[in-house]
Amino acid sequence: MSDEDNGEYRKGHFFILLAIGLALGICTLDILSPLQGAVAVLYTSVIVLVGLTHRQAPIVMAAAGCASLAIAGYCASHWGAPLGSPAMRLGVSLVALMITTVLVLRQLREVEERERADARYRTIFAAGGFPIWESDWSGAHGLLHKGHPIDACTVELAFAAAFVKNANLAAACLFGFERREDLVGRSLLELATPATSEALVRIYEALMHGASSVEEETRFVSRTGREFDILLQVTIPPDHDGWKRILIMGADITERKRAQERLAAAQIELAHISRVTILGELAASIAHEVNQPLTATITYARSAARWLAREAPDAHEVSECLSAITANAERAAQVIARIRDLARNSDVRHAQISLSTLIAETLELVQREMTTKGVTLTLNIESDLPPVTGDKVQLQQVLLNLLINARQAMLDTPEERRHLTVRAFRKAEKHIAVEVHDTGHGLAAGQDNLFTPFFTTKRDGMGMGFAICRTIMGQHEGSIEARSNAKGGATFVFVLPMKTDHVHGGSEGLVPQH
Amino acid sequence: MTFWSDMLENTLATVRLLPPLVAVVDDDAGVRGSLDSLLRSEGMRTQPFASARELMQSPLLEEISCVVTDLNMPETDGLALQVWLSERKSISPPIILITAYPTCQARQRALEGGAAAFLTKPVDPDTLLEAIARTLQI
Ligand SMILES: Nc1ncnc2c1ncn2[C@@H]1O[C@H](COP(=O)(O)OP(=O)(O)OP(=O)(O)O)[C@@H](O)[C@H]1O
Ligand SMILES: [Mg+2]
Repeated sequence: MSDEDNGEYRKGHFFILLAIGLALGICTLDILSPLQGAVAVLYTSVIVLVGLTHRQAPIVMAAAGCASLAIAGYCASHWGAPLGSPAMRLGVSLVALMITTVLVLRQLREVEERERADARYRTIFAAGGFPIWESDWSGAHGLLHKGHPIDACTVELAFAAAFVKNANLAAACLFGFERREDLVGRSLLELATPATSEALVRIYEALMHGASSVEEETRFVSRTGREFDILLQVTIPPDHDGWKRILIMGADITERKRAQERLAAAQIELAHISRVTILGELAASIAHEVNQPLTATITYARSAARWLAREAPDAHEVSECLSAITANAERAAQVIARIRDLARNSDVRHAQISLSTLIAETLELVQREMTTKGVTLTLNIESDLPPVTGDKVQLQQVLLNLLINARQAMLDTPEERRHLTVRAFRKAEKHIAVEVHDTGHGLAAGQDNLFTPFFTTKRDGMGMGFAICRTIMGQHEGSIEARSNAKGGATFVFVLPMKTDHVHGGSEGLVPQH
Repeated sequence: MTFWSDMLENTLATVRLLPPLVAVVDDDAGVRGSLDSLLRSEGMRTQPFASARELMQSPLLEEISCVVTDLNMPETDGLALQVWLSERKSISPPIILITAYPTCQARQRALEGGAAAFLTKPVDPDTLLEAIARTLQI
């Protein structure tokens, strides 16, 4: 038995002795006093006193004892007397005694219930496998509520003023300590990384805006030097008393993050392979795009030589030839630069992009591929389309995929009915849709797994085209979908949000770069 | 006054025998322009067309003495143009086909259809001019 329990026990004895004394006193008063009042009602105070022991048996015994004393008191004074107001007073006293007992017992049960719950939560807190800790952020509360701006400087001060009040073993282990006690009392500032302060800015902002619970991903470095990603759940309990008690739960998501990073890298690699494959397929078309301006350049050069060689050399014609040479050579260089961008395995770079230019440049690459297969191309682009934000190469890849799929789908269509229509238009105020409409074999019924990786109906298809398109659209907050046309063929639409002029207000650099 | 002088001018032009009109058909503006310049440097009269259809609908059609056309064009290609020209009632102007992708099949079809020449891009100016000169002499 612990000291604490022992003390409780002795206190209980003391209360019981006191209660017995009190009861005997009341009994004496009841019998000897000439008072005509319901003295026995005073027995209720005995019950309350015994209630302080927080134990059920003494309370019940006290109730029984007091009732017996009250009855004995009545008998001693009024035995043999006819029933009258004294008997009535006894009755009232007994009822009061009973009610008090019931109330005290009920309170006792509530206290026990609460204690059990507390114990249960303490067990969960201490033994739970996931890290939980309680911090005192009253320093931060003071700073922020004094109107300090939520900037890097304030955050650092606020962070330094915060400390861990309580923590479980899992939390201690997470931060690289062996015992709970090593973490308790510390500030986590010494274990922070730059990402931590960024997350704190967002947490403080959310809390200052009235949130009572915030979730943030961030990164700490443990005392042993291991960097880890953590998902924090910061909760302000109702009785926080100026952020004195903030409950924080953390989940180690390092592995998940690593897996996500590996997945992203694999996706980029796959997209690259697919792009290079497409370029291979388009080799003839691309060669044509480069060949045309080269042919023009050569012919203009020879023509210029002839204009010069005439009896009366024509300076005007020669100069026309020269500027045409420059223009055509530049055109060839541009086509090559575009191909090089597509072939390069470059990092994703988001920039402002004009979809109409993107469509025109992409069509240039497949143009010949289409004409040689007898496909007629119709272009229908809404005027003054606002720009979108995105990675040019990736968006071009999506469009290329759709165009090549459409061409492949039309191989069995009679030549005179091979029509490909590319449309771009505003959709629902804030979006731009790009639609590729073909007259091919269309989608087979129930083909809703088009977008799953490796789904293909082609003999030499890899089935990655759409899977990649969808990943790319996901990274652009866009969407892509397919439908069958009423008159045969299929239509593929991808939708992108328009670029908004809204720039993340001043907190650039703190926002994680995706 | 001007009416009569214009009339006179026109008549004189006809009498003086303007150089023959050569049509240049290519969907690529760069290639079209360069061929046009090349032929003009040799003193020929030319008329560029961006597609076979443009030529078919041209009011100058009857005046054309020779057609230099690209083979690979969207919609109506060079071979189709050749067929169209030869199926008209009036006599067909000689046709010279140029292509960046010469295939045996296309060459055979062109020559069997009566093409005056089947050349490969980029064309050698002398070969092209010679071919045109040959067609014009006949
Ligand atoms: N325009 C279209 N019309 C009808 N079906 C289509 C069309 N585009 C795609 N599909 C169907 O969707 C399937 C998946 O296309 P996806 O581009 O993902 O792969 P793939 O074209 O088969 O192979 P690859 O990896 O070489 O692109 C195709 O096999 C085809 O059945
Ligand atoms: Mg595909």
